[in-house]
Amino acid sequence: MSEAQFLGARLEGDIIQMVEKTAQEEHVDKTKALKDLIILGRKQFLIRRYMELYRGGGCSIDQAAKEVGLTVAEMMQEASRAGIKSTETIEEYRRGLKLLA
Amino acid sequence: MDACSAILLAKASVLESCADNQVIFMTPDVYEEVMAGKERMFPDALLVERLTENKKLKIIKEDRALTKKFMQDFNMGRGEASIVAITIKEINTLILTDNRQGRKAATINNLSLLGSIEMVVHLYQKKKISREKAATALKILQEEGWFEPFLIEKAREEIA
Repeated sequence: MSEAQFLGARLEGDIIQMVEKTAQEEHVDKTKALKDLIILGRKQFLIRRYMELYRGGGCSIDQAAKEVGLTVAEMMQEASRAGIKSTETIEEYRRGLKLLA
Repeated sequence: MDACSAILLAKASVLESCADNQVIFMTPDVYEEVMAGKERMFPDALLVERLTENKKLKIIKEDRALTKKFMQDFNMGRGEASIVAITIKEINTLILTDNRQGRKAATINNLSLLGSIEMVVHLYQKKKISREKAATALKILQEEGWFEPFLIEKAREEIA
């Protein structure tokens, strides 16, 4: 982790409550709680972003995994959870079987 | 074979049967992508490691320039791009990938394209795995949620 710097940000009351509640639940101070929430939120944000890109044919699953910081196996699980299926068609399946015959 | 298919076939417990019956190539980048799961003790990574050590899976170097081109043209990771690149260079080679971008790149480049489901059905048709093992493999592939249900159903009909 790089050196800590000050960042001023205006947060709504319910977001501050979210940070305070997380700090209480995890028995950490509010700074640590806020950092953890940002890191976790960023990861989820990237997963969602790259899953949408993958769904639309904008990147491969290994590229998505690399960008998010997950393994390919983990990214595949994310894709399955998001309901993203292979684009393979019946015709491709039949052609594939013929190639192997 | 790309990382996706290696992982799926390993989970379906048929990767070793594939390697026993076909010459299967991976590139160093694909191998690295699968082995990233070893840190988390993923069984697929451990199996790929063993099959590679036993020379059942072969690692061959890709064409760097062509790999880079595919990475840029299709926004693919190094592993997926390298496996498309190597199939273009190696004559009489089929590409096995279940990755959307990899399949798209293979189709555009007229490569002989396969998916994991065909591999399971083929192993059964060639009597390399039993009907029970093929059915279990298809069930696992279904549970992984990677394939459209109609493809799994079609494959089930083939092994019935």
